[in-house]
Amino acid sequence: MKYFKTFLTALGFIALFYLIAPNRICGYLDAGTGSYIIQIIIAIAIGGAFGIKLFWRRIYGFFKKTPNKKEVNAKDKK
Amino acid sequence: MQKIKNNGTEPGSFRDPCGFLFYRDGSIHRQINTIYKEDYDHLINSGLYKTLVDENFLIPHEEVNVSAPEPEKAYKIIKPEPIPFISYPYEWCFAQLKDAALATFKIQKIALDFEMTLKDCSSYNIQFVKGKPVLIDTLSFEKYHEGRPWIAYRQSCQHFLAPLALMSYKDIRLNQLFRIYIDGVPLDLASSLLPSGTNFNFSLLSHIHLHARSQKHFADKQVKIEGRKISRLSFMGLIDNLESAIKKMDWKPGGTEWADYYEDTNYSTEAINHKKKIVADFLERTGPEIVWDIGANDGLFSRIASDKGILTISFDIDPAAVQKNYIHSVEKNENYILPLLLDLTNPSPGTGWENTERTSLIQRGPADTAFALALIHHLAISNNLPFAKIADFFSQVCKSLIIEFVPKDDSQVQRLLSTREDIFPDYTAQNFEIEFKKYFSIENTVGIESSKRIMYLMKNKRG
Repeated sequence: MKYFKTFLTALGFIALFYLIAPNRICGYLDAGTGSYIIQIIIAIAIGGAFGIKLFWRRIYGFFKKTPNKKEVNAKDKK
Repeated sequence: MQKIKNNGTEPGSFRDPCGFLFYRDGSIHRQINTIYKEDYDHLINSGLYKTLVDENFLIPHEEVNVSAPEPEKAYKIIKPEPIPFISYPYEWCFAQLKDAALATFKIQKIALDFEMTLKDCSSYNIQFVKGKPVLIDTLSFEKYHEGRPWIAYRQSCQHFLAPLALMSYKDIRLNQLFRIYIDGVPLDLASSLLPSGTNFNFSLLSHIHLHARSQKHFADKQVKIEGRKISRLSFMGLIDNLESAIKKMDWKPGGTEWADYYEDTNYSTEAINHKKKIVADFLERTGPEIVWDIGANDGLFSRIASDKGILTISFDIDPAAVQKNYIHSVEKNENYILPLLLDLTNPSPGTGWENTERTSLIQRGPADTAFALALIHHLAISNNLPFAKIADFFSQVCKSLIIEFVPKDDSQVQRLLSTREDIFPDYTAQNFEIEFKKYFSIENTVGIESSKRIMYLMKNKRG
């Protein structure tokens, strides 16, 4: 199941690659062009997932940092 | 090389138009050119420099009033804290390259908080200082412009992700590709060498396999790239994904446990304790600031020096031994030992432009003291090296030498001879002394208790 999901992700990713990759010739040629293009595609693909990751991390951090009543009372007594 | 180190330009510092390194009266300095003024000022004024230095991620420097080698371009001259020994990625074990990578990504993340980004991501910009990976190129930062892709992305894959993936998934020895490819492992090569199963790993599929295909696809095409932007969130996601992929990688030598890996010696406890005492006594006499332990195994004897606060470069040919040594040094928070990978029969050469960008092992010496413990028989018998050549080599790399002679009737030497013809009639303590005396004066000799091995303390006649 895990591999199947990864496989589907990969398929979607490759499809995205061929969808976004431009064919028009009108600019500067250099060895880094391929790296530049793939970076944009990967970053777009990852961006949403990273946003969700950040969101959950903040939620987790919020509850983790919230001191419980016992801790607050102990601090007050000091 | 000595001339350069007195007053000259560092040969490996010429690619970046923002500045370069030079030596003045034996100390390393960096000229910062006026084209880097805005970025340098932001680095300092934003607080990023202080944050990174405080967290031991960036080499500290001071601004100095020294005449610039190229005054027409100069904005400032800085004097970085000197690094006592420069090492290269092809000399690092897996864990060292991984730690260097993670330090780089951590620096990138911190930089973004200060509206800056790394403009290059070379593994050569990281050095191990007091046991920790530190960025040594102060000019690596530029102001972040939202929307712009990460200019160091390709380099981060070639210098960190691809070699680590190859070492982890294919063969640990593939870090030696760094010796051939000065700007990291080409991604098409990495893609072809990696097992096909790595296509099912999202990070490796995207950052290596598809990246390599993309490079090939666009190599002969002109593409309009203006207007193609990535958001800050996507930018952060990219860095986070690369970092996560590297964090997940691991390497263990053949699935064996560290504890069992180097138990194969013929020493009694009495002999090993006596050998330790001899090394400590000899070390006391030489009083070095830097020691090279050549053939250090997992660093048992290196630590006699490093525990005294002597910087000790702990070389071994075996990636497993170096990894074990390094992990031990990290766990114990040791500041004075640097484990490195070295095949002494083929030591690191000068590489890059004019063979001077990365210096050879010999050029990085001489050490004040070298250890060659239980090494001579491997060189002389396993590698057919005559004593004369071994003595000549050590005379080039150290001012004093603590060396152990292992006689032919020792069980370890007999083991080396068991599968080959004994063509070493000259392998005697007498001949060993004759050849070494051509370069060294023998200051002391002590036989190791419960053993026929002899320890020598020698002083280089060249001084």
